[in-house]
Amino acid sequence: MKILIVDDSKAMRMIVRRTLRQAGFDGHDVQEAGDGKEALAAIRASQPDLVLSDWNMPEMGGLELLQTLRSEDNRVTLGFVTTEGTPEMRAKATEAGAAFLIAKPFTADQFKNELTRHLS
Amino acid sequence: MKQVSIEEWLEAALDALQQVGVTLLGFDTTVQSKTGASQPSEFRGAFTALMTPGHALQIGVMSTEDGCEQLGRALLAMPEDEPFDSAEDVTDALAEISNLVAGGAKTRISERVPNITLGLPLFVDGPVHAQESAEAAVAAVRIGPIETRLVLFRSTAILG
Repeated sequence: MKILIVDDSKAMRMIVRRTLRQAGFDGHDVQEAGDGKEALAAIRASQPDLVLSDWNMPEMGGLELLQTLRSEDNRVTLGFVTTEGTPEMRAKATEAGAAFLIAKPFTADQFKNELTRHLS
Repeated sequence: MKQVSIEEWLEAALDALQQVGVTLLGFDTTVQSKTGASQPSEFRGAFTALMTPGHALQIGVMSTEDGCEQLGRALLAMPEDEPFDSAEDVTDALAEISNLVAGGAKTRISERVPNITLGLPLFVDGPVHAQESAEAAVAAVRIGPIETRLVLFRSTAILG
């Protein structure tokens, strides 16, 4: 499985990688992007199976990334991994077509539960 | 944001910092002082802004240079003797911790204050001083063995 991690924080990208391993999702092809613009190019170039994206990023945020993908009829599975965990943001994420939203700080169990549910 | 006091924001940020400490850093946090703590001159750290029309709140997590490295190591699960690839990795780690605390505070306050916008974090090398018109709250917090400050500034001036 190809997984794309999108976050402007290198530290958070490392944490997401680590949490994927802890959740039992090791052995997959994991790539990274530093913002929505980089992610869009990466997704267009090699369609990943799963995108894990932050919300607030420079150049292009996660919501704009998702809206752009959906406007191009790209149905890639995208879940947000973000500090933006309010009901309002969750509703915006769902409306835009996100598969899930995992609020930071997160645990490996949360990753395991959400990814297992959406990738089965 | 005026209807929520800066003390309530501080409580929300402390709760968020506690959650970050336990979940991501592997440390319990101990609040040593909730009011009137100083910002030592050698402290540095990262601030993230929370904004609503007319008001801005800055939430910062600060420590010594060594303290910032310890926080970075804890966040990245690095062994004590492993060097960082660059100084930017430490500032990035602090920025993410500040982002997590500000985001957590926002989630906790959002039922009372709608439409809060979270900004991008900024690393600051040295103490931060607010304008006279701004409110300030500085708490001394021990994150595991690391002495830190949780710093909040809120502008009371209406912009524009």
